[in-house]
Amino acid sequence: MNIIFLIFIHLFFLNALSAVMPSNNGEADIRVNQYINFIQSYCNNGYSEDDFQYLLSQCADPSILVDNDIPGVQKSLDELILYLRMLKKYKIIVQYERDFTIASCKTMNGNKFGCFLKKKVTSKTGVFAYEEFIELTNLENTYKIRSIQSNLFPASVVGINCSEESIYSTSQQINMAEENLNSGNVEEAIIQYLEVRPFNQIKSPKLEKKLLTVNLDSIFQKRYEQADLEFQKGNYEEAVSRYESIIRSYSTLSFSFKEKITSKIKECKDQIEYLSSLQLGNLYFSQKDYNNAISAYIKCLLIRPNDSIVKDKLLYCKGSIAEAFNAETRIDVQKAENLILSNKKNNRELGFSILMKYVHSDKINGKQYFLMAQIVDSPSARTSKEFNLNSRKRCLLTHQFMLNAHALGYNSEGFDIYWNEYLTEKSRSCD
Amino acid sequence: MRLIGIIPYFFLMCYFNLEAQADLLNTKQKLISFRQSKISFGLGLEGGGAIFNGALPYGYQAKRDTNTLLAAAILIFDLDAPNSRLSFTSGVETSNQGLLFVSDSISNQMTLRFRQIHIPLFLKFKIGGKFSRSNLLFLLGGSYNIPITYSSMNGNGFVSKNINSIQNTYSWISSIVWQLNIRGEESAIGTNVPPRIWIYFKGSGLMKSLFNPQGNGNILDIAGSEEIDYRDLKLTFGIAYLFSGKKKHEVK
Repeated sequence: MNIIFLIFIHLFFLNALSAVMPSNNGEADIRVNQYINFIQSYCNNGYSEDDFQYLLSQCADPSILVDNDIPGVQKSLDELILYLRMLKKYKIIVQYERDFTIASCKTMNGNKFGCFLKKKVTSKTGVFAYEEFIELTNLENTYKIRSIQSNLFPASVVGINCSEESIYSTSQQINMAEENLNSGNVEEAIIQYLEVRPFNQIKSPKLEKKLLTVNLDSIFQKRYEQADLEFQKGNYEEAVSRYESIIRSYSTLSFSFKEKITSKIKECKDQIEYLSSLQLGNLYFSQKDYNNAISAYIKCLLIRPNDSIVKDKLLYCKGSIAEAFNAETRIDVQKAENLILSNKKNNRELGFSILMKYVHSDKINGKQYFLMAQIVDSPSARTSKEFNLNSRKRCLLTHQFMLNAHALGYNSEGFDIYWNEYLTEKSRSCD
Repeated sequence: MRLIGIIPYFFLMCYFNLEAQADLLNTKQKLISFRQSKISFGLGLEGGGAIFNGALPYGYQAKRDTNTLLAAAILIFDLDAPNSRLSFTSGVETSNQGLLFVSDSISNQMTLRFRQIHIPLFLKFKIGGKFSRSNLLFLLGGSYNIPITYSSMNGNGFVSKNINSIQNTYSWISSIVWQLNIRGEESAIGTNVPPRIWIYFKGSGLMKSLFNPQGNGNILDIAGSEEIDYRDLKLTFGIAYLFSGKKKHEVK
């Protein structure tokens, strides 16, 4: 798309939204609205990736940090593009709530704004409600998006159900944390509170007070051990949830510990993907949809290359496909023979074209080669054009097809008449 | 009239292109193409009658000599072009014919017998497929006729064998042929039968008087050969066997 046109769109959004937005936080709102429009248009194929990248750079800070799959592991602008590409790949549509108003954005301190957005994400697993927190910073007298945090996880994108219960608003989560504290579940309460604490301006006095008295290192170490236990039991989703809660909550996490957890999360997700692919593969397998089963099993083998059961199933699928292909070919070839023998010009042309598809395979029998020889010797104008048959090529193919028919043991009075009486000495040798 | 009824029947049989063998295809034929063509030899026999259509001196009539058969034997050279609708046929034919000139006076009766060699050339048009069980052929052409023997006998028993009395002539010929492709027929006939049989009806008309105007003596007692314009229309029915090479060729 022409860059001038893009600038025009950009200015159009800016002006249109300026007209309806109040002035104090207006610019921040406009930026967020722009962002929303761009994302939605991108998801609906309104922009190419290049166009989108350009538009996004207009409303986002180049050093933007996006935190919308593994919370705490932030991504750059380039990675955001990759993330959006993934949305498109999986046909995920992001629909922001349109009643977004100035009230949604609040001043965080001096030159910072924070906006909470609600959105609906439609994927193949269903429609889910999510929240997104966008932080804007005033740089050189203009607001640009500095960071995006969302509870949209790729696991839900690729088909693992993300339960509604796991998605809470920050205030709900603080309430739950307080309930946990009241019921004596201090560790859980602390972790829940710390997860949402950075995004909530209203602090819980009880939990703040408790924070001063607990040993965070031991709480997170215990949490880590619990996550490891779940991992060992094979409860990978639960393990991921626990590992991720550590990253979300523990702001002073050491780099090496964070790396260790990130690697564990990746391992969990691989295993989840393996199980999900295996389940999907088995489902396709039971439905005899071997093509899709193969794709799923290949994904499994990428994660566990030595899985002999999956390997066996993959071989079975390939064998079944080959067998089905052979059966289909046999039917195809027989149909072609019937078409040729139907004695109608169009049918004969079609039958010959079908047989020519299999000419290098071992699916054609002697009689079919003999029929092909006769057609190629005196082709119709259409057949001649389709296979570019000049007189030399015609002779060579006729000769070759006759030899093939003979080699396959075909013998009939018709064959005898054709070879001995119809063909001349010259045609028998093509010299 | 019966003949007119049979022609559409032949035409339909050929039109339906019934293949002689289940695995032989009647693929495309061009109007004229000599691809895969070869010359076939054939032998035929025919017989029929002649209708006089010339001019005789007043009081004379031309009649068929009931003691002489109008018959011919023919050696056929057929250019068999399976991929072509049009083709050519030639041959050498020898015929035997007898004439009776009669007048009111018995003493003026004259009997003539002669043999000729005919060298015909036909343009042949084929209806039906290249591997059909039968085809319909239309032949149109001309023939050059050379006399080889001649004898005449008048009412007094005088016999003349002066061959100069008759001359080389030419005629137009038209023929309709039903070609049976027996060799290809799926049957228990075996392979010793000829590959093709022609059953035909032929019409030919002399385009020049049979008698030599410069010939010696009178053909009839009162008229010289220059005064007799003998032309006729011959209608014959024939059958011919056409052979093709039975040599087996190794498939290689």
